[in-house]
Amino acid sequence: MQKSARKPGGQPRIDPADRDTIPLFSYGFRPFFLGAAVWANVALILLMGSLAGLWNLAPGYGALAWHGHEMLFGYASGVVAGFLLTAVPNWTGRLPVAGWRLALLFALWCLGRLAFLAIGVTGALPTVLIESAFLPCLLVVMAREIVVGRNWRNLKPLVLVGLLAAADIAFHAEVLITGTPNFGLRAGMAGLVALIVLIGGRLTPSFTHSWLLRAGSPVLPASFGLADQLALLASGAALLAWIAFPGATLTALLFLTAAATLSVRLWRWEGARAWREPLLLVLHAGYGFVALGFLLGALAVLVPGSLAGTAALHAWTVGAVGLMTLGVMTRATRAGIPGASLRPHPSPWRSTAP
Amino acid sequence: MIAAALLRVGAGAFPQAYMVLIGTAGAAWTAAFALFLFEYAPMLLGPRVERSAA
Repeated sequence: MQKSARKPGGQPRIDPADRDTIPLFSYGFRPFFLGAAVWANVALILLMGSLAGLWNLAPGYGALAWHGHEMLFGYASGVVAGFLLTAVPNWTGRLPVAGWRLALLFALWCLGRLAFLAIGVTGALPTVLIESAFLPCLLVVMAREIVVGRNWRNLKPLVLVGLLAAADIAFHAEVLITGTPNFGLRAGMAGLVALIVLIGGRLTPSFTHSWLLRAGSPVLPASFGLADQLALLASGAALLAWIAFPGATLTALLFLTAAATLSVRLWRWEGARAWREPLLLVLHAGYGFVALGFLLGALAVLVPGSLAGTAALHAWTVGAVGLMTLGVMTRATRAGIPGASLRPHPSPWRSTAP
Repeated sequence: MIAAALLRVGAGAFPQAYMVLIGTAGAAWTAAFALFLFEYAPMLLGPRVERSAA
């Protein structure tokens, strides 16, 4: 994207996608990264205030269920939408979804956040119907681009967005029927962790590679091989087992396998040589938190009472999702807006590794 | 952000300090995103070619 946005003479030119639209809706990452970052803070401040007894959050739904939902399906899904809406055109070579279609999709995301916040006024059923419309719409838009662009290599992220959409609906159904999210929460978490394992696993070594190359390092991240395949398989198996049987010993053993294989994978990327670059450190640390989350999740099952409540889950949410989204949003904003970056950064939208 | 993650996970390991750790984790999270918005919100809102002379 960086290259295509400049003429050979180095003069910036206005991208065709910009001509008819206001800048905010020229690329998917712009409205969604902005909205998601605002929501990350608003939603957390609302939670902290409700824990302190200052206000009553999501009456009839439960403040903690609301918090879990808004972080996974509000904040994180917003970042996923912003990333994929910008990455997919680069994968398919088609024009980005921009202008009024992007504005409409973003409005739907905002509407979900606001309606859910006002659930006491709008009523439970209308709220969850409005709120759960966003991810299926994103899925349809993405599916259309990938099918028309015949980009079959990227069916995996599409399947994971489908998992998120289904998990969102399951989450609401479980909270409204039983009072607590169960399968829906785990499926949503698993979908996000899988996206990080997959896409974070493409971006992190690729950026580290170009940075180390420029820094003249004799050692570069290992290219995709058996170790990476094992890590992807082990993580996928562990997440599927966790969705179905979170307390099983077998799940805990699969978690340990995933933690070990992911650690090996991360080690092969030579992050220790690139820690001085904050934009790389954040990605390596975020990926490390995926492995740590697996380890703590196994510990919580194998050694009962070792970790209170949702600490292991939060290694994934705050650690892996928080760091990876913040790292990708920062890099994407700098790389996606020509001239915004003082040093050249490779574009996060293109990546050739599997 | 790294501090927020470690504090939130640590809150589960040290229940006696749970509320303090949760509060600090929340503050660190909020600070991280406030910094992000301060630095990048103008870029996300602005035209594509801003600061292109740099």
